[in-house]
Amino acid sequence: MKKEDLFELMGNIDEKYVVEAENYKKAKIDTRLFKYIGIAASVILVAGILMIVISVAKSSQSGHSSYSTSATTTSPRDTESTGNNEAPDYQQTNETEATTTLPSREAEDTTTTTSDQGSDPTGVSSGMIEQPMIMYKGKIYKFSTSPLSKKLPEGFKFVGVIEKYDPENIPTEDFQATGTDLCVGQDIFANPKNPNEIYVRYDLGGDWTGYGSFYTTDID
Amino acid sequence: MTDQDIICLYWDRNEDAILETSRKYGNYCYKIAYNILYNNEDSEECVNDTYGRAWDSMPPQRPSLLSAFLGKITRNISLNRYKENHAQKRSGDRFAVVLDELGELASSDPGPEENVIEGELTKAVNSFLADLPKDKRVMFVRRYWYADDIGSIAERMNTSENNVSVALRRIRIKLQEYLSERGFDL
Repeated sequence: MKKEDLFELMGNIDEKYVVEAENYKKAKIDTRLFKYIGIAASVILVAGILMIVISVAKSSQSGHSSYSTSATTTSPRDTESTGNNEAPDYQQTNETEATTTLPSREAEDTTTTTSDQGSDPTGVSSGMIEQPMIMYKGKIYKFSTSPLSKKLPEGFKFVGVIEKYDPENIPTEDFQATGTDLCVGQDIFANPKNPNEIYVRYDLGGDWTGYGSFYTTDID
Repeated sequence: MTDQDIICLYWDRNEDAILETSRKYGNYCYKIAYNILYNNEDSEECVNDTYGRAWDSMPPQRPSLLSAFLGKITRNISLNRYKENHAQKRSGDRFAVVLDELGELASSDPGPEENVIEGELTKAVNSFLADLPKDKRVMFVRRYWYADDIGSIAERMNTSENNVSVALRRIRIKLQEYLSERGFDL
């Protein structure tokens, strides 16, 4: 059969198919709809991520703030100078009770770091020195990572008290202090045989007391 | 004016029948003719011939689907014109491609044409089309009845030309198998 004859034969197909093919028009899918759905989904996604970030930031801030408040008012700071994030223990003077751990805070390596914003992640106000430091005999002693000792180590004697406290400047004279959780009047103890370490007594209120170790890296 | 009104005009031998047919189906018929002939003058002549053939056919005929009835007349007239135009030379026009595609259905070693009963073959093709999904059927009819080019089919079907070409090829293969299974040796 010739192809022209086949074409002619195709002309005899049911007329309903001919009309169907004439009227058939596949509906176009409006691709703009997909575009708008995509945009809306992106906006929702971004908004969701933002909400999560804000929520995490808020909870983080709130955690540090509460610590900071309690630390400055009722407990000595436990900032670590070596990057160790372990929470120092503070023990009660009452021997019958178990030791109690105070809230931990993130370590900070730098000794002179000051926040350059309204408040840094640790909740310290802008311009304030966070690292506790004391000048004694011309040396800067920095708070160590050790937990407060319940008892003053042997050989350490009372040598004076913190006489000045400047939260914004590094100490420049003996018995001057800076950093969080220190204040004028706190007792300082030193051991002539161990000139690289001093102790500062913290009064936490109530039965809480402890001796915080401060080390100097200044070499004679 | 409805198709029935137009048919009535033919039956009443009212010459407005031609005018109304031209208004309603002039473009439709022209498109069919042009798909085959690719020539404005020839296509217009074929459309005019369609009106004359319709005038001669009604009465006695009273088509149920006037559009298909007129389209079929146009198609046949255009095909004959095509044959006349191309009797002396092999053409590489677009309609020749349609014919070549249909030619794939024919056996490489065709038997006597008398063996093919046209009415039975048409029934088989209709049966095959009935089993096709609607969109595939439309593609097939647009290509081999209206002789539409691939691009316009793709546009109508809201798909790519490649998809249409592939789909048509698969339909042709299926049709060949379908007819072969039923003993039609084209």
